[in-house]
Amino acid sequence: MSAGPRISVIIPTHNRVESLLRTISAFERQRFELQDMELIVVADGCTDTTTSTLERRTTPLDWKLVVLDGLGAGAARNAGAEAATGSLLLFMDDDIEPAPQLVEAHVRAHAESPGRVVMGPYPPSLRGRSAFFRMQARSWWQSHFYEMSKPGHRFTYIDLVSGNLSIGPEVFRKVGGFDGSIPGAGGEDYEFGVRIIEAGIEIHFEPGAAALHHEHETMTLDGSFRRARQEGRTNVAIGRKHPRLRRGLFWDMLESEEAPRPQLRYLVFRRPALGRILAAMARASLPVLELLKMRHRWRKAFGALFGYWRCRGVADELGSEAALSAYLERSPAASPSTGEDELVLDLAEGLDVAERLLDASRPRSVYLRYGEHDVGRIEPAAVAEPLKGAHLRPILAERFPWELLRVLALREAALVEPRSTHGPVI
Amino acid sequence: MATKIVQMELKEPTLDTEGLEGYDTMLVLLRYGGRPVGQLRVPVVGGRVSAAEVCDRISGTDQWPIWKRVVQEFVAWEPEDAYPGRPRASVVVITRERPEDLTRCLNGLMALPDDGQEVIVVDNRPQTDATVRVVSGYGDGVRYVREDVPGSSAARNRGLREARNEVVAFIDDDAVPDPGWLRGLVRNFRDPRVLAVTGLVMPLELETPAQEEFETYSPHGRGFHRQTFSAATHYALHVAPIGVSANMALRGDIIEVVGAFDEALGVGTPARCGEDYELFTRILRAGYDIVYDPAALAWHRHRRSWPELRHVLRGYGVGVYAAWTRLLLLEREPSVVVMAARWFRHKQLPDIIAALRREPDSPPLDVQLEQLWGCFLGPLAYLRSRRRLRRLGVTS
Repeated sequence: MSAGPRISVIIPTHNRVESLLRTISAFERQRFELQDMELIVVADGCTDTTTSTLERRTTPLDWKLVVLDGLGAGAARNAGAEAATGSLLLFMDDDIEPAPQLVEAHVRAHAESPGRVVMGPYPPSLRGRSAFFRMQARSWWQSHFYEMSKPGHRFTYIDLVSGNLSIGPEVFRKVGGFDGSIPGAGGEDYEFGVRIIEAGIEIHFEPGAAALHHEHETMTLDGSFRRARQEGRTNVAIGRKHPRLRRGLFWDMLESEEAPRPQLRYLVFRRPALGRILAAMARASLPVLELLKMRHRWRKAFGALFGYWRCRGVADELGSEAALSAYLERSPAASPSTGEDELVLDLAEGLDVAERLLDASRPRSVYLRYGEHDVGRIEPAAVAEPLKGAHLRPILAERFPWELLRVLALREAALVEPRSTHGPVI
Repeated sequence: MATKIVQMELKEPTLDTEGLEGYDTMLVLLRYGGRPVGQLRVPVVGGRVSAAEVCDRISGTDQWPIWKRVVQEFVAWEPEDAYPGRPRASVVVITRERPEDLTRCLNGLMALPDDGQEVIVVDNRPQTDATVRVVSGYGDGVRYVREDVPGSSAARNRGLREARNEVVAFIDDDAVPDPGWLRGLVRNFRDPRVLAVTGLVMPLELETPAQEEFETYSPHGRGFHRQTFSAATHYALHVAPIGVSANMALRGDIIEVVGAFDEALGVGTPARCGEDYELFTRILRAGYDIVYDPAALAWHRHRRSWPELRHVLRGYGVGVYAAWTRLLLLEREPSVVVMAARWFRHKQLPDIIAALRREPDSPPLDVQLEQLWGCFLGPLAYLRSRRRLRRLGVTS
């Protein structure tokens, strides 16, 4: 172990001094030896009083300030990691307030199994009833963290959010850190996730490393549309870097919205003027729908707008529909990957045996059989962690219920047949 | 005119098909590995049912809940039970002057597997010491709390405040829990979006025409499929399909998140009921989820006499309209009016016409008119109930 502190907390910030101070105070109250912790604030393009306030403030923490010129969240995290001397890096967003046991929980999770990436939950702090937009955002975040906390969850790059994430400095350097060329904030963590998973690094979700996200102070309805546009741009940036993901990235991004995809594409690329008018009308309708408590129509309008702005972000980068088609064409189709690392599992030998086999070989895809009967195939997923034993039962129950019933019925029939002289069961 | 209620385990299917004199129907609750998976009705002829008929009806039921259990047992995995450990619960029984029902309910609660739960009996504005005497028979196992503000809503709020555990499960004194009841409710609270869980309610007995009619006209059960309700997937004001407070659980800190039960609603207030209904809409409108899980089974004894049935159904009318009055006036939900119109147009009016035409299987006219009259009284009842609360010095 190096002589440095055990953990370096890196907080990139951009003009949010009040929020930042709350985050720093929460680190001063950690249930963890403060002398084992170092704090690095990366002030990225701050034009408010962030730097002067921090310089005046006294803190028991050993801390450093790095000042940047507005290079974006990814570049700011890299600069923080550069300045860090700890044997663990903890990235924390400036509007997130860690619970007192957060640092301890991150450190413990790394001690259990070194070399992994650890994420903790940070659901929105605002509870109860509020604006439709806030309730929808809260539900999204809660669902995101809940899904990851399920035993047997198979991580994909989309799971990776960097607001409360820790990683060893060697691992961070090995994957090349965040992509500093992606400007602004929004989506750069997904790109990091792609490289984490491709490097075969384990992702671990630690419910104990909990924090609260004061999102309602920093995110507005229009802010979320700006972010959607940014995500659209980042989506193309990731696709340029990882061409084989292009199609999946593009469709995944639009699929999550309720708006019909071809219409969005048509509006954004072929009828941009009409698109702008419709978007302005949809935006103006949101407060009216909310006032009338028309939840479903509001949700539809919001979903369409969100998809529209993501599509606009894509158009910002690619310009024309021809360029979009060319961009998507140049994405090799998802690797058929027959053979090679595909594992054949016979469920008739028992699920425990199958789980052990999965743990031993960590394949990308699996062919499932039950004795001589076929059950199905777990297809290789784009940028998902390799399969392991814990994934098996949830996948079987959720994706193959009918196939399993069929083979179970065939098995029963084979068992019962010789004794079919019995009368009715009752 | 009575229905015999029996249960059948599909893994070892046996059924007593004889000795059913005095019954004209048999209601069979189907279980698979103990889990409720379906129900069926079989006619009783000459004091017996035919086994072939039972088999036939089983193949006619919705079998997906059964097959789902078969798969889950083979895989030995169920999403709700996949987590190690489970949250602890406080069980709250709301009661008022029903010592016999309460004893049966508490006996059922004492027979539940011990997961560290506590049991609290909230005695609402008692007139005698009957409840105290019943509770004292259970020693330290049951805590007695007296709430003098009248109303099941006030009693439930008291239960929420007295409870010490993360989840608060409510069961009515005229209901009996199944052994899997509490676990079936509690397991759904892993998801942070879930603020409430309701369970399956089956009739404890169907011995009188009033009980039969209640079970047909206004059953408490909501089927054998687990369902998640949210404002994203369901109409947030139409919460009747979610379930009833006779069998439900809430997250312990619900008062801080969406507020307490409205004490102007509920049994024992002029509004007669509706406190659960109103809270469910508030949960959905605040962007949280409610789960209906048939694994949580409770048996409910419906009112036995016809006057009691009429009284209860009028109460439903009053309660629903009282809750809607709050939604319209206090919560400014204009679509309540549309919903009321739809209910009348698509359910109440056709039912009344069917009864007037004496169509077979149409609900009796007197019961329907009673409920409609209740709807008419609802809005004023709610306003009166609020005035009464203010007089009692309760701030809502």
